[in-house]
Amino acid sequence: MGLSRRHFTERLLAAAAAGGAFAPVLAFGGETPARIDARRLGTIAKRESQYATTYVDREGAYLRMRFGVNRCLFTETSYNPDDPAELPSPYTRAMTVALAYAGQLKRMVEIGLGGGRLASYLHDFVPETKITCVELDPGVVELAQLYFGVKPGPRLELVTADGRVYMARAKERFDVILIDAYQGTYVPFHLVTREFFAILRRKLAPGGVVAQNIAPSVLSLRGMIATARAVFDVVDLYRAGNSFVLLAHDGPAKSGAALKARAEALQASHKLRYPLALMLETREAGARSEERPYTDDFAPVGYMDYDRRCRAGTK
Amino acid sequence: MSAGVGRSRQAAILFIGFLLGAALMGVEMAAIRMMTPYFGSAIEIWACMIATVMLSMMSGYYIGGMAADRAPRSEVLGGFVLAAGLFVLALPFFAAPMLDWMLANFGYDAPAALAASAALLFVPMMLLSFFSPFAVRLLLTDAKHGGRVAGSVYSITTIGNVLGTLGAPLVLMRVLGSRDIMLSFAGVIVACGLALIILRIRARADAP
Repeated sequence: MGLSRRHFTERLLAAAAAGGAFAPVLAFGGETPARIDARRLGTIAKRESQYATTYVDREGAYLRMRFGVNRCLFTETSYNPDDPAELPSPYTRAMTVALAYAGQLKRMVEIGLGGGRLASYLHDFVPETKITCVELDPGVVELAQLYFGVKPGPRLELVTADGRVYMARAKERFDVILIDAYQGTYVPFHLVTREFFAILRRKLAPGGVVAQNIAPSVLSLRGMIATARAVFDVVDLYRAGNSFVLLAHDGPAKSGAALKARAEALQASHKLRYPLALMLETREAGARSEERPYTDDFAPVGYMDYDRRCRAGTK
Repeated sequence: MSAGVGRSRQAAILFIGFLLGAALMGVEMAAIRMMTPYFGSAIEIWACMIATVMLSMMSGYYIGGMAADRAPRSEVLGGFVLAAGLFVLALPFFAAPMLDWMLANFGYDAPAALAASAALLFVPMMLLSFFSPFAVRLLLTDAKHGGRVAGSVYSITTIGNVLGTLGAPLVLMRVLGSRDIMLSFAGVIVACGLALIILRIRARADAP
């Protein structure tokens, strides 16, 4: 049976919609238009791994990495191939506020790669840093390189592993630890517990900071504040669109003035695309919660109402 | 199963099978939850844990079958079940130090996960799996009804498995920690063991 006219037209439209995205496809070889799933208009690639089915869609100028669960697609990353330094998601920009907290910026690790935009941004704007991205799903690691401009190199390392196992084994200490391990409908419980944060604390260099992306539709904000507070001296919050970014560190709390001064100094030296001083305006210093901290023993995460998560995720 | 040495005792054995089936899977789910922080949630690790339980059940069916022929009495089975219950009762107290020790000595990869899940689960899962061959031997009256007896035992324990598999994550893990879940199922197993000892059921096929 040949390709029907309708299918052919659909493919043609999809190919047209994909536009510039074919350049990286061809550049990496192996990935030919014939293998691209064009059943959904705008979907230009799809990977089924042992963990999830990950889609790459094109919407206007942006490429999006999305996880499919049932009929819901959860957007993990947006990327503008014409402007790789753009960070379209507010939470991704807010995560960079960690730069203003850290004593040094030599060594960073990110748990949960997604499209790798945050890591690429930090790699490009902070030339003194080496960043390691730890991602469990090999399909995500592959798509991030094929479509989202992630280029491993001497200062950008990609590791396919469980984030907790990687951190427990790590021999190094990190100035910045970034946690963004979601998979559409749920967050792995062993990456949100007091014991996990205790491991992170041991792997922080003096003056180091942990930044965690919290999507309140998937993970309880109050539960995470309580958990981080059970381990770290100070927890600050930043609001970013529908999400929050939690910053945790030891030692005395940082004054607004000190953070602003550091943000301005970094702006002068690094010319960050998104100035940290702007993000500092959404700071909620010294967050506290009476909630019971999540522990390895008891962490009832991933039980939130499916429909709500679905609606929140597809917004 | 024809009427004979009390339908109520027959029902009691099957009900115990249901409870033990639920406990076996409940303990497995809680044990997986206990191991995830150490080995991560990679699919290979899940495979190792499930394989360990299957291996334990295989051993339990085989050895339990031999034991059942040698001593077809419910109190003997009860002793094995009681031992399994006591092991599970102790499990939350030695799991963490043992997993720490295994990580330090065997690393984090699949063989280590296999060894760790075996250390946690092999003994109790094997002993619990003695139940099915014992129950068949105890309930069997004659070869003519062998199929029905075996079928009843396997279906009732499997329904228990389903309850444990679904109940642990969907109900219990929302309100209890892994340790408390483990201890609760240990209580169920110990109670079943004691009940089997008290019931003192003899194999019906051997009755004069």
